[in-house]
Amino acid sequence: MSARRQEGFWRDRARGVGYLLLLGAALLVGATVLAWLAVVLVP
Amino acid sequence: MSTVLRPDVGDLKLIGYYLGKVLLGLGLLQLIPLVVALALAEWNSATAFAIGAALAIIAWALSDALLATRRGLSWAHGMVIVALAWLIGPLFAAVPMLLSGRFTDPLHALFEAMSALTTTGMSVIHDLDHTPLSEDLFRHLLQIAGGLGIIIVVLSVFAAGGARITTLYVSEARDERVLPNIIRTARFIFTVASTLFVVGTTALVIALIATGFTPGRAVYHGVNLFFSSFATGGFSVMQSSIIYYHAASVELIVGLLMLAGALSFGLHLALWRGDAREVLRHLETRTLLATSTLFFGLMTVGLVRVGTYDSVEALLRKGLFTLLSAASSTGHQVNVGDTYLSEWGLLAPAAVVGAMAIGGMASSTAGGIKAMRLGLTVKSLIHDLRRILLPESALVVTAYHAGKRRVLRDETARAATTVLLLFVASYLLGVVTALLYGELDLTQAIFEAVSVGSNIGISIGVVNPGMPDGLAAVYILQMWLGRLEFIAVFVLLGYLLTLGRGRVRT
Repeated sequence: MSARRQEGFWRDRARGVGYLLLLGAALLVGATVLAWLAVVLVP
Repeated sequence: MSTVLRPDVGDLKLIGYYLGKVLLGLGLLQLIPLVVALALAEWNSATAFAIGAALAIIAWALSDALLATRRGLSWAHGMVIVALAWLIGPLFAAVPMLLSGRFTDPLHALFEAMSALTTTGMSVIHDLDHTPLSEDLFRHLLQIAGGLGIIIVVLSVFAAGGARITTLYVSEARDERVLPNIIRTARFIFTVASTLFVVGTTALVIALIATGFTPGRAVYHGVNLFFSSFATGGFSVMQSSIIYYHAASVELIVGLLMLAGALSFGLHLALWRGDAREVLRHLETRTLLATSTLFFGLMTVGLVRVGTYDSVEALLRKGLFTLLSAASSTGHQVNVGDTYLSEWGLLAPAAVVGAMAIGGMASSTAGGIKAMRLGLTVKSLIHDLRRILLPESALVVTAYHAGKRRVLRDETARAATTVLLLFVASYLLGVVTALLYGELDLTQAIFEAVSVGSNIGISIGVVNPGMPDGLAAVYILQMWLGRLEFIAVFVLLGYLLTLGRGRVRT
């Protein structure tokens, strides 16, 4: 595998995993806000 | 008089020939736990895998020798092969399970094999905590093979000819080709899975060692957890599922893997290409986000009102994890089954049932009605309402984003609604059968029937080694129908009818 292809190979994988982590983090933040609202607001 | 052609010997040979290839894949898969069993001196398990692998490979050898044909694969052939493969595959996978002596009877072994391959994850095994390592590995290997699609796994390795495989790929409820070429699609799916395998398993191993596992046990649990989480399968090494680990770090990593499993491979490709906007605009993402927010909101209100949990951390670790497990169709549990019945009230379990019914995304490893179909059904409903409310002369066009801007067509909406209704019919079948036994209440019957019918695997306790055979048989049927999303099964039934009534080829 050429150096350029190898660079693209790892970049694609890192980007895929990185975006997944971002997606997970965004969901966790959203869920935390919802859970906090429920604890505070629900009698 | 029927105008449908009656299948001839050549058609049947073709179907048998391809089924043989699937059995070769299942036979070779059993060699992995066989080697592990031999290495660990688990002699009973090794014998079971040797017999199981030999039977599958002999069946392939016979089909290859007797049924080899050059006839082309039609759409109907593809559907029939896939429907039968998902019946015969579990039958052969059940052989080593039955020989292990850990199941009440052959039907329960078949239940376990069907549950494994369809990535449902319900288990009727006896004494899971003391199951030999090789048998555990086999159960989890079946989940990843089933999650990725046994047909695509086997045929992309053993068969040549992209066009032929495409027919089978589409038949296996994978209607969205990620890349134009099917072999490249399969390669991409394997690349995503192997990348996440390395990253996910490493993260799990580190987290498990941090919680006090020895490195060897951490690797063993990590590998199996990856298989069952990314495959959205839900099997676990221990009877108590994810509760066993008592570790937020493990729950977080498993949660991310379940999320990755529920994401369609088309959206994985978009992420790999750095096109995050595609993910945010896709009808399926938006549908899943809307339904998950709704169900999580209902769940938290229900749990706080009943007083089950009163902290944000508990709501996230018990509530959010369960919702993610349901929405991704995985089935990992952080609660004992009875908890849903005795401590969660009614609203929170209802939210879990709602999330389970919808499941994950189309063309992912997840099960359920699929967010795409729900999104299309809702769009179609809005379309019809607009048509009624707007003046008769108005031209009503409804569009949605799925890879590109698409105009909603009547046949697309009808197909989505039909499958949605068939899933509801499958749930009803499970509910009514469970109620006929007279020992379960409605909550239990609905919860379990939806979980099985959507290939989820979260159990309220109905599925257990002592469950009645009739109920086990109906649940097996539901798992099969759910994994194939009905269409291939209908084609199989139609094909069987034409065997007797079709017009003879002249």
